[in-house]
Amino acid sequence: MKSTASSSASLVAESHLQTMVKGRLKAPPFFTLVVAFAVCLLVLLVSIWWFGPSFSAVLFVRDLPAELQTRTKVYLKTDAPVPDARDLNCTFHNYSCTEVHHCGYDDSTTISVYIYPLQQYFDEKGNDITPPMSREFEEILRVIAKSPYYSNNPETACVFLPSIDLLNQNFINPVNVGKILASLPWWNEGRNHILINMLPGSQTNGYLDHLGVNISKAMVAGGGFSTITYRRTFDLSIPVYNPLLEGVVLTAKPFEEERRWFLLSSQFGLHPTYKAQIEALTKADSTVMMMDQCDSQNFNYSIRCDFMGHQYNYPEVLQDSTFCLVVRGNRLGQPTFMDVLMAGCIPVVVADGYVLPFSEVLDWTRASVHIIEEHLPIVTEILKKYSPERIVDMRRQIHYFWQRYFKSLPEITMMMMQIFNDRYVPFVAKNSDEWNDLPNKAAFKSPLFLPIKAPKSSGFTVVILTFDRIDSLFQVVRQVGRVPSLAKILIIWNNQDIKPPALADWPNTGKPLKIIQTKFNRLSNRFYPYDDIQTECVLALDDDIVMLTPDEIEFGYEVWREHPDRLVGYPSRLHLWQNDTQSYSYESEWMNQISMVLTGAAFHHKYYSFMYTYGMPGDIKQWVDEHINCEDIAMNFLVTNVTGKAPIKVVPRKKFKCPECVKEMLSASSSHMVHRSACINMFIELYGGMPLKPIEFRADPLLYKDNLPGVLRKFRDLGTL
Amino acid sequence: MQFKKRLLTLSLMSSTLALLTYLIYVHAFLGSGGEESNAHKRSTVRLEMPEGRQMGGGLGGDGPPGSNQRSFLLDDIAGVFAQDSHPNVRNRSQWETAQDWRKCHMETCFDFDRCKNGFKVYLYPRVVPVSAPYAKILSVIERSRYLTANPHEACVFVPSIDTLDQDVLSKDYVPDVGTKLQALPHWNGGRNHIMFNQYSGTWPDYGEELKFIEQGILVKSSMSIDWIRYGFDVSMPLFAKNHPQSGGEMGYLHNASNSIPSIRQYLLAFKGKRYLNGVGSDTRNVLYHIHNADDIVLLTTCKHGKGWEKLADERCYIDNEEYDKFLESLQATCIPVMLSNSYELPFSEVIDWNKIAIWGDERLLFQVPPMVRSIPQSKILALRQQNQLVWETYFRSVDNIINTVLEIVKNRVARHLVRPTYHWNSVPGAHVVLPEWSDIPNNFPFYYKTFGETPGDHFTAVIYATSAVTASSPLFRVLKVVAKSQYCQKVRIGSSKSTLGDEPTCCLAHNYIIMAVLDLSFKWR
Repeated sequence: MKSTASSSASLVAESHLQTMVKGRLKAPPFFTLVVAFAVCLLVLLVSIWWFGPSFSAVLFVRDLPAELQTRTKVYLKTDAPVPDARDLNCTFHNYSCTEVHHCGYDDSTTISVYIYPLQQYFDEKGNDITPPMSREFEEILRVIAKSPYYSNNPETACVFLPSIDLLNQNFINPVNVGKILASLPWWNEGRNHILINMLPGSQTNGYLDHLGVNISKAMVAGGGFSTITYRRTFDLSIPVYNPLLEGVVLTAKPFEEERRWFLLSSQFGLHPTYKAQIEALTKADSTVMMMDQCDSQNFNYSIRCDFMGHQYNYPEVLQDSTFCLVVRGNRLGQPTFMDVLMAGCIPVVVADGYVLPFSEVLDWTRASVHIIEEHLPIVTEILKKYSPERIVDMRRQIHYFWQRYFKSLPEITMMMMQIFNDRYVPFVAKNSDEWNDLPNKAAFKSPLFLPIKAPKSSGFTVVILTFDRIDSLFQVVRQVGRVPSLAKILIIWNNQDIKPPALADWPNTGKPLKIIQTKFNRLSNRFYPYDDIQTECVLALDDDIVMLTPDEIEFGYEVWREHPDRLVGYPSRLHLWQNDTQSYSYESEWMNQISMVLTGAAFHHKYYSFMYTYGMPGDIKQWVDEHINCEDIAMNFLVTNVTGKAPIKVVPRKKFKCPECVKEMLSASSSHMVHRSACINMFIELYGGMPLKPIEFRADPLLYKDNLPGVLRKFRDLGTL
Repeated sequence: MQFKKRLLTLSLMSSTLALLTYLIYVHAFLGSGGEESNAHKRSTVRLEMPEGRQMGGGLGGDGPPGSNQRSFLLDDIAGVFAQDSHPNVRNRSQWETAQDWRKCHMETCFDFDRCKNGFKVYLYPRVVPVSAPYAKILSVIERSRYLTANPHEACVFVPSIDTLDQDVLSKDYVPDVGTKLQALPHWNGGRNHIMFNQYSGTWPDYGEELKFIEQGILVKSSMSIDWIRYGFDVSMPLFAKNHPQSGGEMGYLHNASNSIPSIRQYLLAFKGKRYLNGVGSDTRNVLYHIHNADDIVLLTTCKHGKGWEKLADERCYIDNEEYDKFLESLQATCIPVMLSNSYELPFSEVIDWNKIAIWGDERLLFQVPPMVRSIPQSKILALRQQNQLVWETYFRSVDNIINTVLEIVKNRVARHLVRPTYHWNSVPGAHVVLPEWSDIPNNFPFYYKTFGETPGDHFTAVIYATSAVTASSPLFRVLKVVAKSQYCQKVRIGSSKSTLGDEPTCCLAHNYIIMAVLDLSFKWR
């Protein structure tokens, strides 16, 4: 005991010593401390006197840019001007309501948003009439100030955001707010001003469905618009953000899971009529559930009680139901909508005329059910018609919407700004797919999505890549020159040292012929979208493919016209998975399947040349040029990757170059096969997966094997092996 | 000793500071009148949240803890979640419409009860001859699969009174349609009636001329954004008198090149009205400044409404000859560059015009040429094809146009069969995608690729047998062959066409099934 006490005492002494040493070493001279104290005291006293009652409103907006924090005092006279009433004729294209000359400044596709500095407003008697600043509005300002939209220059700004908190109309005095708005230096009758409001109307005005302030030509991003008050293309419908969800973490539930209830109503403050109707629903169907406050005297948002008094945790309970009712209350927009989205329950919106949040761009039919109030008594009947698969689809969609556009104030704010941006810079606006489609790696958006048969009249252009094999080249030119649908011959002369033969020396085919001598010997030159190619169809041909007959080529073109989005070619190859090496190999043997056609003789749409040149993933193009190999594999990857469709092999021919050979190997060496396999495996990595698809059929002319007189068969000259 | 003195002074100073800070806190947060009551309210409200949840603007995460705690919603809990106190729910949604029919929307001016039996259209019998275009419209409805002869099971009504041309100066003008409409037996203030109109006097103030529509749905060409009762009225394209009844011309992509870059001569062409007075006239007049006859061609007309002759200048007469309708650019797979100031685009309720047109602002006209030149080739290719799709599906004949109108109205009254946007805006278009078949994309043969799905790997064989079944019947041979396939999941044998038709279950129950129909009567007879 004793020894312990003494040891602790000595410890205390030591620490004292340390403090003293520290004090001596580091403490500033005593009088400095006193002076500092005096200064602090002075500052505090002054600030108390200066900022007065609304000190809190301005004290903590710390991370706003300094230029917004001027906190100037503005005194407004009793007879200060107020704006005109809300202009109901305003649309975005109404010249008197918006001003666009500062938007898209310097060719920018991002609008600039000027935020007015925070100021304090007083009436003549010196009463503070500044609407109190909520942390939610602070957050919105913060997000915009940190976004690429923010501009601190009102002279060049496109739109203006008054830093006046109008989120809840209950907290503002409409007349004072009108005076404040009219006093803004760039107000200009409200043109290009965005006002943000989430809870419009108040008890005193019977809950108007819009911000009941004289705002003249200002735009309102508001929660709870009805189709009647909503000035389409001008106002913007936003959700009623629910701060009660902050910090709530829900564990994700599988989309496919069965839920305990079919339909749940857990909203507060429902109209007695609707309450009675929902109650009737619960009696008719045990999978319909209704909950309300547990104790009407004691507000608690985090629990709900059913008729029996059983208590449930909220919003967790929403996860136990497939559909969740969101009914209009005093206001059209309800914060419950957010709760329901968060929980991944499908909202059943029952609010006549309500403009759903962001409905300008979001396709709510994919993620919600909208019924008219009159149909509330038959809502179960309507909902039962949704298939289980549709319900899963809708849950996925809700999850996507929530994560991307609703999750928190930053998401909501950026969504708002994006939509305004799309209005002012409409030529970069997103389309409905871009807003609504779930990201899906398995989905294909083919660049040639319209299933049309290409017209025959324009024909095709043959692009022959050559280096120095004049003899076989001329033979190829003669052969292809006899194809009826050939429109033009384009020779890509890839040899920089030797000049191509004079035009007079070339075989006369009666078709236009053009020679392009390239600056560099690159394989990708064969896929450049030359202006000289004026047809949509391109036949890429090697200078040694001497065996293809005009009939075969014409028939190939016919097949391509039916499938203009695919590669259509003659020699084919396959990729195969090898278990021993755990990688793909390149196969040139004759198999029951193909997944590639060689571009030494293949038709493709000119757009794929464009994509090959300007839109290939990674550095494939450069790699191919450096290694002088695999450009055809790259093209097959490219086309199959965007269309999801395999190439098509035409006609049975298997020999192309060497009429004398028994069996032709295009590139016989085994090292060649190894290189080609390596290409496939490298491309897979760059594409993040294997896009190639095997296919089990080829296209042959209808009567090619029939024993009919030649005149009856359109394509007669077909090679066999 | 001196150290102790300093220590004392220091502690005195710090306690003074603390006291002051507390005073400021009290002064600032609790001192002002309005906020006191809120703070008080909050203390009685049990939010039961983890510590710090409502502190420091939890979301941003970078506000210092304990900063502004005011919330637009939490401080008004009692108000936001107050009991809905409106005396009568029914009146609430109806009252504005009752005051002014121009505020109609579906929930207030449409009687949904009539559509309980599905979407049926009743056409009033024709009494007097109608104009040629209106006859075309009525002809579509007469051939519609939604037509009913029984007005009591009808969901919507189409009057046979020609309302198409309400321009008093026109030769097709039908006077006094209001009285005639009101005399219709099921008129009921116009509820559930669809009325068509193409001309109505002067833009944009055609409200006076169209008073007769009352609570009916107006289907009108060239509507303005200000006037349309969005979601209630329908904006349809203006079609010429000789617009084909059915069939109609294919888009030009079928016989023209879909190449890139486009081999068209002109990059940008304009056809449209050049207003001589009123809103927008100045900018419209400047259009010819960006006309360079090389890659940008702009054609304008001055003909609009009444009285344009008085203001016409010499350019007008040349302009007017060149002017044609918006539809033309669609068919020609020209990509429309929209400069219109408040034109409600046709079928804008369902068609996504961002997939078809490039949007410019008349007020920024000089930005248009560089803007158009900056559009990437890949986008032009996509716009052009979409253009073609929309032209061929919704515009190319009067049949297509009017059937689209019917589909739009049907889509509004459908309770659970509401179409998603992709039905309308992707291949093959809404007319061949019937929502009654399924509510998910994977049950249609069109959307596998776009939604990353694949068809199922089994099929059902539906064998249609006409001859009597005996032991040696060819039916058994077919069965044997079919059953050998590893992909055959089910075989269904029908002895007459009617049983096949009666059993859609074979398709609905197995959604991922390819049907192979072997018609025995053909093969084995």
